[in-house]
Amino acid sequence: MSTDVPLIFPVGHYLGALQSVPGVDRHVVRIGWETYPLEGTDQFRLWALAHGLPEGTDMQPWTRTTLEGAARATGTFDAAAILADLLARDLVVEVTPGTPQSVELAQTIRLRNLQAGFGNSPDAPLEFGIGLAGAQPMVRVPRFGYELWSWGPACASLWDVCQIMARSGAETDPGDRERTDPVAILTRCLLMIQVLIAHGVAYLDEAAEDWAQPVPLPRV
Amino acid sequence: MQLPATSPVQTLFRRYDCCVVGDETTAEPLIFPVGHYLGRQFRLQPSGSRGDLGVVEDVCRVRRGANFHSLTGEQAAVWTAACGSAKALEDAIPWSRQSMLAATSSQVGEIVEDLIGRQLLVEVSPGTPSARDFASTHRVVPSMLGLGNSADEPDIFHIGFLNSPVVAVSHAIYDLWSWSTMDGCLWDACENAYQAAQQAGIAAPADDPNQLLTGFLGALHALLYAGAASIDIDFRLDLN
Repeated sequence: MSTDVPLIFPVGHYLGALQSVPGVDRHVVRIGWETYPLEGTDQFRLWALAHGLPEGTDMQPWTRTTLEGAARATGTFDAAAILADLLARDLVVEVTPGTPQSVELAQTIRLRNLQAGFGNSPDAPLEFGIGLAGAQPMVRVPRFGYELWSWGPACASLWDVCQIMARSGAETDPGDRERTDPVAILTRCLLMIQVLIAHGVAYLDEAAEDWAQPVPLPRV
Repeated sequence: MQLPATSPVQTLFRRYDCCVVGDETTAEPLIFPVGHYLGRQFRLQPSGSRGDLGVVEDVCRVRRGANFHSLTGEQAAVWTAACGSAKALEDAIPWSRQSMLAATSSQVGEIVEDLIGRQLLVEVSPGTPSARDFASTHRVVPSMLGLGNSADEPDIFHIGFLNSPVVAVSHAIYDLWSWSTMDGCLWDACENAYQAAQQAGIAAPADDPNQLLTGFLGALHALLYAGAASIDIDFRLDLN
């Protein structure tokens, strides 16, 4: 699956509707060290819709067009204006895979995972489940998606993830551009991240600037 | 041994009014699992003359820092059991090695020792220097969404999924949980939470960061058991 149109991503960890003022509908999202309010139902609804629809790994790429269509279907008719505000505050980002802008974005964001892994099964060894332990998996993804979900959050930025995958690919599949070119890997990551986000098992956050003790790269 | 059913879905909805209670210490150290559970994973290869696929590897994996650890089913069951139990949470029983062994099987003592040796389990005594050491080298990672509070119960904060709260906690616990992923370690999270409360001019949730840590450790099994958080080590990858 590939795309040459800009993809839409929500950014941030949802921290709920905080009722500091009775009767005021105010949702809060954390991005990095800041929290951002989503004022009113429409802003929250559009940010939630920016996650996409959980339709498995075959879900269509989530774009401004599909988002605005979903917003209209749920009764929000001024989606363009609300989206412009969310884009201006980086609560939603829009980027075309394979472009220099996608690399710039990958250097400023990081993937964080939610929930737990289910692994695979002898009957379906190529599908890896993710979800709430003890319940049914929210989604089953191929090994690439599982690796991205399971250790991508260990990296300070999404671009670091792509570089590590490219180094690993250079050792195992040196002639395969899809596995050795960080930009090509980023395109695969962005499409898979849409699947992970739509199923509620990951979110995007601000890239880490300064972390604790460095440790050697893992073998992927 | 089968993996225990620790699903909070089966026990929705539980409220653990995890308060920062102060200087309480437990008689026995609390036991915690370290790492993020990645599930049971099979690797298959063609085998036999017909080339049928056969299982050549069947392990449970946990990511701890930058490393992936392979556990047997029994080891994974013990690791998961360290998250706590519904009964212990309901009865406010501190989850220690002894309470875990009593609830599972005394036969798993060697596995506990092995997992402690691999730093996949850790024992911590709240209110002691070991707690500070633990908090300075580990971080708490949220694995669900924050759902906030309500006008009816402004002091109770929910964690879970949209329209599906799984666990309820006090503001002090919610605040630490919300920001813990940004801090390098749990101790930094406690210090920052304490300072932020002071700077904001609101009533500090504890007398000092140590007391905050003590209270949070007492609430941590509720978060782990619900699947609302995991524990990782303080680390970062070095690309150079």
